[in-house]
Amino acid sequence: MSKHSQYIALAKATEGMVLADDLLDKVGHVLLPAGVKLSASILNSLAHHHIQQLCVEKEAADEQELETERQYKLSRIEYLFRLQQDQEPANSLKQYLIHYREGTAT
Amino acid sequence: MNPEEETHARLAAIVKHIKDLPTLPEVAHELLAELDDDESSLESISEKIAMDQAITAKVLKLANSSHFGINSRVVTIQQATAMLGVQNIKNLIRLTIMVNRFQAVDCPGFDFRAFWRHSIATANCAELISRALHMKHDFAFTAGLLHDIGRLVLVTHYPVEYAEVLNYRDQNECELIDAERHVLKIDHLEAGLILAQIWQFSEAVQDAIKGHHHPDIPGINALASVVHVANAIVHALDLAQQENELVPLLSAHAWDTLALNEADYIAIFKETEMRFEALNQIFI
Repeated sequence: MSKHSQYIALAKATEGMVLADDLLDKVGHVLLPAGVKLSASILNSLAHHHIQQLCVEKEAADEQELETERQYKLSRIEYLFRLQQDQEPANSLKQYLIHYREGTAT
Repeated sequence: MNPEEETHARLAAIVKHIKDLPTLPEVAHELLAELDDDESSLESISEKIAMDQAITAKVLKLANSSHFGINSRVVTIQQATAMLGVQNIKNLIRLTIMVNRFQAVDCPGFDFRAFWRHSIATANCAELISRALHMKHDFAFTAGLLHDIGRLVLVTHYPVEYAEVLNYRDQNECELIDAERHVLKIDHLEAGLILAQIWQFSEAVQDAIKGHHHPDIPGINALASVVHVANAIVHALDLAQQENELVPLLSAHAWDTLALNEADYIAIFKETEMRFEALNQIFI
């Protein structure tokens, strides 16, 4: 299983999602193989098989979206450390965190 | 009443409150005792888990979560315990038991989910730090999980006044512990310590509860420093998802005691976020 998949509750599964892993029933039989695109009728029938969650592929996150999230996390750092500006050892921790969020850590 | 008498009266009331809490179910009791016993076998733990449905469900869910990326489905407790390992199973049981202990009360401004998000993340982070230091990491998880338990004691016993504490904190932009002292004349360290004593937590865990804000108390267990730094990291990683999140004052004593380098910390940040993601889906 790759990090591009995630478990979601059946109730949250929607048409068009793609199964990232074989879906088994409780005795281990394959109900649906990995790679199947979920349709309305499939979702309906799953409800009768006591399936509670599914492993589906994550939609490729938009580059722009990722960058926005990264920038947001970076911009939060100053605020989070607002009680101790320019103090050690908080400053070291803050620097490590900035490197971590920037992805520049070695 | 002078402030000292007031603190005293509040402590006595809290002791009574804790003693009035429903006792742990028997299975939970046996499990907790067995968890502290290093000799206990995986089989006997598996057997006991199977007796508790809530724990069984969570163990299976974790074993099948993407964090433990394997391809086949895990359907039995034996498979799950073998795969997750004793350590993960023990932690999961501790979590389930503790999270179910305190029922949510109505305290405007207190977010129970955020509280547990923070506690679970700190438990994992403390365990990772103690691994990096080659310390016994069993205690670290428990200590991280329970370091703020006094807050739950205060909230459940004084829901109305605790709302005032939160209000005072927001108005004065101070740490929660200072707001607690100002409004309640007692803080979550004292309340947590009483609970830890009544429930007979190990001394190391008691030290961590007592010292996680000031880990430089002479003679205190080094676990206090571990939890202190883990707590700061989790606040800094913003994992509780609270708008007014704040990194508390970081102690130089604790920082120097750990003596970890940047590469250690970066690895800890990363693993803490990953594990948190997996557990968060199951518990909160």
